[in-house]
Amino acid sequence: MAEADSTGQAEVGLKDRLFSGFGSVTSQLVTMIFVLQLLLTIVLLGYVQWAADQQLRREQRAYVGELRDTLSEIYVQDGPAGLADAIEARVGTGGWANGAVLLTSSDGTPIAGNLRAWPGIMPVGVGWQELDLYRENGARPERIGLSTMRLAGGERLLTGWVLDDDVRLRRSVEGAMLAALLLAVPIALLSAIGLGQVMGRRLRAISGTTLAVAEGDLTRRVPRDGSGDAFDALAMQVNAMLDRVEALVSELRLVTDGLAHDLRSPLTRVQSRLEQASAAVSDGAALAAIGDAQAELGVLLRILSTALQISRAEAGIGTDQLTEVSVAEFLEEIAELYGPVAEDSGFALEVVAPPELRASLHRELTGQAVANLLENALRHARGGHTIRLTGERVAEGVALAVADDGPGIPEGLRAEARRRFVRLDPARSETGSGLGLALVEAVARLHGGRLDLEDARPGLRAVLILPDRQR
Amino acid sequence: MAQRVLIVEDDEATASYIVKGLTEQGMVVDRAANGRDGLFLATDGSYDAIVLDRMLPQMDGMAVLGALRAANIDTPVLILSALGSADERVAGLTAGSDDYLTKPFAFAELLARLKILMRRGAATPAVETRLACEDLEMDLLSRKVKRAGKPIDLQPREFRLLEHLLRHADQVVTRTMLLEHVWDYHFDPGTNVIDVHISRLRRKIDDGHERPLLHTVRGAGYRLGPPA
Repeated sequence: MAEADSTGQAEVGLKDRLFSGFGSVTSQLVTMIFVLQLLLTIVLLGYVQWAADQQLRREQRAYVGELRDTLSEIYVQDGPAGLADAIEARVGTGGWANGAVLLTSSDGTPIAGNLRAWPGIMPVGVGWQELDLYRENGARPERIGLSTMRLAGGERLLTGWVLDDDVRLRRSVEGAMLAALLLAVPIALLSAIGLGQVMGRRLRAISGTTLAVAEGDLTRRVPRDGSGDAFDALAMQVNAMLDRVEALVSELRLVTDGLAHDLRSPLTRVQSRLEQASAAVSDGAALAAIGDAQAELGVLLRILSTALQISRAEAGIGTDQLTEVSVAEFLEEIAELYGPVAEDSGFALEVVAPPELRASLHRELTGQAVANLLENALRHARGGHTIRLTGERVAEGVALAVADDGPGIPEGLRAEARRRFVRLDPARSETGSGLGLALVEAVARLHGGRLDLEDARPGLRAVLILPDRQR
Repeated sequence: MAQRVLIVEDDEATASYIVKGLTEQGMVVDRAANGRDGLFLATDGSYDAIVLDRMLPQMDGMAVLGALRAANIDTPVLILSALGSADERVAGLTAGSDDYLTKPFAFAELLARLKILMRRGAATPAVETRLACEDLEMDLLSRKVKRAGKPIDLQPREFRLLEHLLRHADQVVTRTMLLEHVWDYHFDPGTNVIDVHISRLRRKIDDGHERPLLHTVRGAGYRLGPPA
């Protein structure tokens, strides 16, 4: 039971870390993806704004340059007075709502334009400069981008563009960008969660398969989608690993099976020789020695046939021989077979099973499994008085249990008790093969079930779970 | 007339051991080392029993058995095989063999089973309603047992155990045979479950009587009958 418990916990732990809670890997990934997407959106919007600014500024400079060129052409054609007239006419009709123009004499005295005065710090011949200036009818200084030049007659010409309006434009762009950002947040969140779910689903497919394999179904493989992405590649590699594990296990089975099988013939001969020898001699000491050898051979043969039974059961041979039996009758039969032996050892055998309970099982192997558990109880439950065989319906199927009221097996040693060829109490079980529980486990697996070792308080309760067949 | 037995077995040591043992029992034994020779010898139908290995060169034991049964030769066949699992046993028995013994085996076991097979082959008894051995009587209809006229109270399983012993009175019955026929299990219990059942039965039928009827045969099993 200890073993099953720990794998159960590991499984829950893995699922927890992968799929739920704030500390889970998936939620961390989802958060990371969300934050990254948001950052990307902000950077993108920032760049768009910066690029739009740059473009605007370029256009303004071009406009200012164009205006300057147009005015200097008028100057070339019509002279200073013509230019002044043209400027005055344009300013007078309210032109250049966002423009700034000033024509001064060579000493800086204004001649025409909509600026109050030549800005003192502004040299002549500047390509682009931004300054805060008052326009003729302005109540407050405005941010203006300027370009200045000296005309052929020594007059100075200033052309400019009021940038204040651009600030308003920028605000509206910022508003639009904020709206875009607000829209981007839920989209980023949704896509991150969706991605997390897709990832979770594919990881669950892999972890479900490895779990099934760990529980003994070596034929399970991760479903592939053939996309060749990282998950598909992982699935492929997990499958390749499982193929290898399956090949190794079946190879091992073949070797042990073959070995046990090949040992039968020579051992048959040894047994014959011993029988012949015991018939041929009459010397007491020799007969005793032959008897001992025969007894040892008996133990060896029992180990061998149990080992073979285990490997056959693990290979699933016999699954087609399941019959439906009444659990109560089945247990009564075994109790009846062992009743006298139990009584002689000082135990009362009880059978508790509802009369209507039926189970589909391999009668011979399950009978041997329950007999093994019963013999274990008879052998190890020192100081106990009752051995109870129970059959009951549990969530997964039918549970057959053998419970004693002896000393039991301490929790820490239960996993050890299941290992092959291990005897917790070597002094008392000289006839045991050390394969008893291993056979019971193999029989349980043949039925798709398992063996649990529990504390009967006091004593040991060995439970053989036989799941219902879904067919 | 001596009983005739055919051994079809490819393993030299095992075959000669069986031949020797059966010959010592006064039987006439022939041996075939492969399936085809075995079938050839068996088809004349003159044997009282056949001991047949399963994994044989040239012709598989199951195929030999199938051919024999197809030819309406119903000589009792005991399969002696290293294939000892429950399903292999079922396969052998459904294919028409009369008994199935797993290698490695004890000669006493083989002998006891062969003798019972040959007895069965010699006389197919009519439906019996009453079994008896000396002053021990069993009425199969009323399911009552008496010894020297005094009724004996038996549990149902003890009744079946005694019935099996009575049906094979004066023959050696092994522990595994009892487990197979009375309990329908083929595994080898680690503990002496059968011995304990027998000793209880013995107490009920032999206690208080001068002549014990239920005997332990050392190294083999049990025998019900007059003391040797």
